[in-house]
Amino acid sequence: MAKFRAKVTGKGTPDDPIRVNLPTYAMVPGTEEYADKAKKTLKSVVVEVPDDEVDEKGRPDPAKIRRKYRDNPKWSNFKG
Amino acid sequence: MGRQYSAGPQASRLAWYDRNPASKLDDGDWVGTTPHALTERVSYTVPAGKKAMLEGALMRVRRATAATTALRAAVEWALTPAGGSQVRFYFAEIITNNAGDQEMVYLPLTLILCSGDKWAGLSVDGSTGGTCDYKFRFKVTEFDA
Repeated sequence: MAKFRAKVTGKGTPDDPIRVNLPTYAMVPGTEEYADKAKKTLKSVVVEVPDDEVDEKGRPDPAKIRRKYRDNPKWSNFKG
Repeated sequence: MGRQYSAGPQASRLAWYDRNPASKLDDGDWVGTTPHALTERVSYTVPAGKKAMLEGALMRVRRATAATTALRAAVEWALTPAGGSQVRFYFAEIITNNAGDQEMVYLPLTLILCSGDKWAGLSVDGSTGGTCDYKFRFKVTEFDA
């Protein structure tokens, strides 16, 4: 598994949960960084992702992700 | 009279658990987490050309320290079919406010996930103050579609 810090997205609503915009990941407990500590607005978190979705530097590789999931659902808009 | 053939499935095809199977597991424990909006903690998406048998999952929510104002604290497993919308499939929740109050659910499953389907564990705590502990764990066998 590759580990790196990723931005989070989403509003925390049922239709738009707070998440990392990657197909397969696990947030690492205790690594949360908050944009607003008082409001507990999550800014980024360290995630673990499968090795075949990252490049040689251990960063998420959009081409590999698109190939692995064949763009279904669309992962083209992800930002690592 | 010619030989009779059954109209069953392709008999020569290997069973799903023999088609390049691979076990995928995930496990996460969040301890002393403050109230938060609905957050996806773990996510698994079935790769192209594969299917996955979801064989078991566990989720737990436990109030670690009492809240000032307790509201619903919950854990959920959600399924998003490829191209579809997320459906929160299983949940466990507490609305009581004693440290140690908990709900834990063990799910022995035989859900078949198709290519592009996403399985995710989410947590939410609408309380003011206090903390909760969360746990998610699941296991799938991924195989050639």
